[in-house]
Amino acid sequence: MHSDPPRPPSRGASTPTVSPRKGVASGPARAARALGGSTFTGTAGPAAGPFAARYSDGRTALAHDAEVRIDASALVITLADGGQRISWPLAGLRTAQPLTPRSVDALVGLSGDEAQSLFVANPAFVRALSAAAPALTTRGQRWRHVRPWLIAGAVAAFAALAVTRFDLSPARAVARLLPDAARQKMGDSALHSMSRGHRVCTDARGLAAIDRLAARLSASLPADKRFKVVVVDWSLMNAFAVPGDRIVLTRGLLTRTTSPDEVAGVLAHEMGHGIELHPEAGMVRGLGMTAVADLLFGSGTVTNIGLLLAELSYSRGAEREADLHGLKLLREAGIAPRGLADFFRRVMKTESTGGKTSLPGRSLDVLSTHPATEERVRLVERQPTYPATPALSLEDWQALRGICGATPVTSPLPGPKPSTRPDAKPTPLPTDPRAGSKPGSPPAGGPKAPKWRPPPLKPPPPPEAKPSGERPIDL
Amino acid sequence: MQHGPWGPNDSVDEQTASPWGSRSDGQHVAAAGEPLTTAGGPGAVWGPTPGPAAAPARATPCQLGWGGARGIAQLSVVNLVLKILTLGIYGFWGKTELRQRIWSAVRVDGEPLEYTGTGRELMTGFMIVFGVVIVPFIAVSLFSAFFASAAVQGAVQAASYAVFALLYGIGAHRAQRYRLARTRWRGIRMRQAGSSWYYGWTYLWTLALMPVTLGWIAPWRTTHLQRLLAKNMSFGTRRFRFTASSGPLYVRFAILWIGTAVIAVVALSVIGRQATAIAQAGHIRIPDDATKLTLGITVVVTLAVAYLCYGVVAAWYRARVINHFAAHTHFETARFEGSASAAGLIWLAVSNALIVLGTVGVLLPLAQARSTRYLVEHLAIVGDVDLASIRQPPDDAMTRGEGLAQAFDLDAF
Repeated sequence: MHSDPPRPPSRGASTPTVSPRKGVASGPARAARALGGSTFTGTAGPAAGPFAARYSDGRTALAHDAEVRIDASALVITLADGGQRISWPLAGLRTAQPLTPRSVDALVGLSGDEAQSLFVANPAFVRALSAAAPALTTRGQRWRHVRPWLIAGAVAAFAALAVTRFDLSPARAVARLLPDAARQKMGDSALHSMSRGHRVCTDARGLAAIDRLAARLSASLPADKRFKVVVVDWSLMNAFAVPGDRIVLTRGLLTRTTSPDEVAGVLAHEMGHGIELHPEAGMVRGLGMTAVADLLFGSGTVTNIGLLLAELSYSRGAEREADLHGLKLLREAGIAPRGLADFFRRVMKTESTGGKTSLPGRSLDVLSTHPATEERVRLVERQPTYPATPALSLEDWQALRGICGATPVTSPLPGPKPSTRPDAKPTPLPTDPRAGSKPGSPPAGGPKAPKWRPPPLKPPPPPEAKPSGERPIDL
Repeated sequence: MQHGPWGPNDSVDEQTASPWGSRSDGQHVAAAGEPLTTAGGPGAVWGPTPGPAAAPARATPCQLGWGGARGIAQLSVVNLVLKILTLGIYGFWGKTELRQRIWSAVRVDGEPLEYTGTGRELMTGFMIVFGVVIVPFIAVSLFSAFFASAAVQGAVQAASYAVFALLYGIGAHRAQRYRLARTRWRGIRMRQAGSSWYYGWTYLWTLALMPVTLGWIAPWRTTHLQRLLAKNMSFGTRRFRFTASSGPLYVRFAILWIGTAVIAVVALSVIGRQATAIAQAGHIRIPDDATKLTLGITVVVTLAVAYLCYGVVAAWYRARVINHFAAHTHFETARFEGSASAAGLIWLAVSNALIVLGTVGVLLPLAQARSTRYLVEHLAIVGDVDLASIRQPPDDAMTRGEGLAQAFDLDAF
């Protein structure tokens, strides 16, 4: 019923209309305003007022006394001095701050016109305006600003899910572009921070043995892809691929496995990660996430590079790729793949015993890794058989297990059964008749895989007492 | 008229919030927020400024006050929740709403200031800074870490410190410029002129002289940086003038400097004596745990007491700086008058620290609002101003400015 038509909140339409109260101006605008004025008192809508106010035209710093009332669709301001009347459509209003139920005053203006303003120091006015123009309240304002980002967040989460689900990794694309020197440097700094606090094992015979095994496994790879293996004196059973074609094995892994084929299997699997540049991609991803975190939270710190790698866990797709590469390397090198399966079983065992004895958090790990590990065992067992020889000669295997020097005493914590510690007493070594043959010699047997199996985990080597917090092996 | 040069801008709050610490060396005193000027400087030339003698008849007194910003604590929590839900992006809008509240609480003649900045502007500025400054910064440091020799790495590091100081100064100026361009009273805009590169360069070389002069350049530096800001500030068509010289600050600064030296010497000798006693006893027997604990407690308590003493003296100096700058900041025929006190600044710092630490930072915005409130309530406008003569200046292309400061955490709140 107000004659001033509601205006869309666009800039062009929100120009204020100013007209003398009565008389001078002529035309429909004036008639309409007069009509609006006269109907106001009878209005049953959200009308309120009049309220005392101060009006500034934004041309000088002077303010003028005024009265304001809230009409059905507009704010009508009447200047005390001269009686000029100004009408602002409710839909085009802005306030200096969002209106809250606790606001006691309001500074109102027109969007698109930053000059004019009206200050009303009256809580009743604020309440009336909140009711008439809900978009000016905190709720209206915040929702308008939050909504696009909530949508964007949902889209981003969906995209992240898609990337993980289908293994579309931009990080790997970046990793492939890295020059070798950069990969070496990444690896150096990762190795440096990972081996902090742990000795690197350097027994010459042990090194020669592991180098022979690495060379045998990577013989089928292109000449520039030669993996170097580093053994660290660390009791936890673990192995990582490190950028720059390097692999870290722990003493725990060498002493707790029972045959060289197991070590060869692990090594081949880690080489598989290296061939696919998983460690490089992981670091690129970690750095990228750090950058995003900096973007969001402005922390401005570049995270410790080694930590990135240590915290890295690969997706199932990546593990499968590494497994397939590893099996191929084993086949090319004439080493039985069963060692890898044995190792997976050992991991499962370690996990389940760990699950019983340690913190409840561990059992979640078991749940999440177990089925996948079983599937990986089956993958290995499905491999066709081929002629194979032990991965290492007996002497080399012994040398490798002694690579960290005299067996260190490792009972910092009360272990369950000190009697059968694999560290304290060397486990029985494979007594394969061919064990003494040169590792590089062509597979001598028939089409069958070598007969020997590691002594079935009779007393399964009890896991070393692990400080809680150590993660089970993450292959 | 309008709010003082110490208007509701954030970094100022931060200064008041911590009269302790590095502030006393003057290093950050002018960082982002405060204005000031040279004696009878050229600032007065700009615009048709009437001389003090010719005060127009229409001039009226102006009151500066605080209009109560209610619900800041609630706003802090809401902003934090929304920020987390949107992975941090809402932070720009949250900060904008906080500023709207704080600006609106500053009243001149009973009418509020208005903050017209937007979250989108803050975000755009931040993205630009991120692309132009942060990413290259990270790239260079990574590159040098991976590929450069140790000597080159050292040089890169030294250069990045210098660049960082330069950017800090530039960011401080630009943040101030943005905030003033988005500040209105009765619809009339404020404005910060002057070159941010020049400000950044001045910031850098005066900073480099701090160690050389054992800190004695600090009051001059603070005043000079403040002058670069204040004399280039304007409200509407009229400029502020800044007439402070650093001379009057030197008395308190000398006391602060000597006091700090005495506190340091006393603290070190207390700790040293204890340590010596233990070392001598160590010839006879290895110190047991109790002895070590005693030493530890001595060190902690001594350092805490020393820091408190230092904080008191630093606040006393800081109060002088605020009041001195206020008294020499003029607008038209009026000037400011400060009544900041050491006790007030200390209470503000301690209570704000408790609020912030006690809530793990959630109520940081509240601490900031309290700091602004303290400044506003301890600044007054003395003299009359002819409001009718102040007009809206023509539009200028005010570009985005605040991202740099924000990226460097200058302006975090």
